[in-house]
Amino acid sequence: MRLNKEPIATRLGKLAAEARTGILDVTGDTRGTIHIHGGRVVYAESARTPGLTARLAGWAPGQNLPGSLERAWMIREATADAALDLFSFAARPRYGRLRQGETLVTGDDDGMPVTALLAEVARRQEIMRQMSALVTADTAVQRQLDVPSRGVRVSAAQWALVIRVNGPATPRDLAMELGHSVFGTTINVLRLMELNLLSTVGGPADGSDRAGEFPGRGKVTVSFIRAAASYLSDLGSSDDQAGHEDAVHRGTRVRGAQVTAG
Amino acid sequence: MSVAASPIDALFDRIRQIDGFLLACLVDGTSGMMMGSVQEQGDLSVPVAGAGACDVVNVLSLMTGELALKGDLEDVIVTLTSHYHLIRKLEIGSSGPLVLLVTLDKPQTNLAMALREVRDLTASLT
Repeated sequence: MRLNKEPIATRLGKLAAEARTGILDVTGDTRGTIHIHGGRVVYAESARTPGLTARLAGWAPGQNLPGSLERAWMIREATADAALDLFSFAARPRYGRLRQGETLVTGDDDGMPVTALLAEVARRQEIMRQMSALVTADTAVQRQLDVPSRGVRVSAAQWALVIRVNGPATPRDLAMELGHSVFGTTINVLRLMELNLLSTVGGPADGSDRAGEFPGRGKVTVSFIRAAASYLSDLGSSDDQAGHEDAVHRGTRVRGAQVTAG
Repeated sequence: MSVAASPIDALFDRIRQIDGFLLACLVDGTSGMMMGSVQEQGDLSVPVAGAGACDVVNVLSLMTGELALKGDLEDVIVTLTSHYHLIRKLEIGSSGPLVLLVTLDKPQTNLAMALREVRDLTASLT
């Protein structure tokens, strides 16, 4: 593949403006494809996030049928999860020409505008940054040995994670096994760490505290409103294509810590 | 362009009929991703509203857990000076909840009816 002059987010913006249809192959540290239909992103997949087959596996018969709310959610979530992986600055994505191919068109959801996808990727990058002092998608975690004696409440997805962790595993490993989003699994792992059901192996990602102990409740929490407000204040206007592209490209360079560490 | 409305559009079309309707958005409770939104006028910040609704559901679920209460969070009603926020949790299989936020203009809203309508609409989805 030839060396690309413009970043992938910029290229996608141009494909959107031209209302193109086709498939963009992405290579670099990660691999994947982006499906564009009429300038909108209808699907994306990457080697480091679960594909549709894996995601479909966890549902009971009669659930997640084509045309259902769950199906629309699943495809959009798969797209955003893959896009976060593909657009990561560290992955140095390279891409070729838009090629003709069978784009995934479900008929009842015409995909996301490129600006919306870029905004969502930037939001997810911000949340990953909020969590990064404690856990990333590739931080090894294990079951906490001292289970709290009182009852705790976890969601079905969180329970599936807890019972899956058998030796050290990363959120990415667990997500691939379960067919859940890598991003959502990383958040759930953090929430399970808050409940002292899981802990990192060898201490938090930034090495700031003793191995196995959650370094104080309330010091690192995932706040969606904090991410939304921070992203929007950086951006200025939510319709600004160039602003979204900048945010995505800035996004994965490590900024000063946004979390209150111990 | 498909002929049938997406399932999200179909949900919003019914929510818009509620007296006092100002804004509605549907958010993935685990990732915080906005699935869709609709508003009457277009000057309210949908990303902030959706993100806030998700954070509320997460904090209250934690509270329910810490209090060791039996049962689970169903919905949240927030009363403001001039508005209501109705936040409804929708379970969709094993992948974690969706969160529906409906914001209503207080003087035009019959809260009991609005709540009933939101509960009926969401019951038919899951």
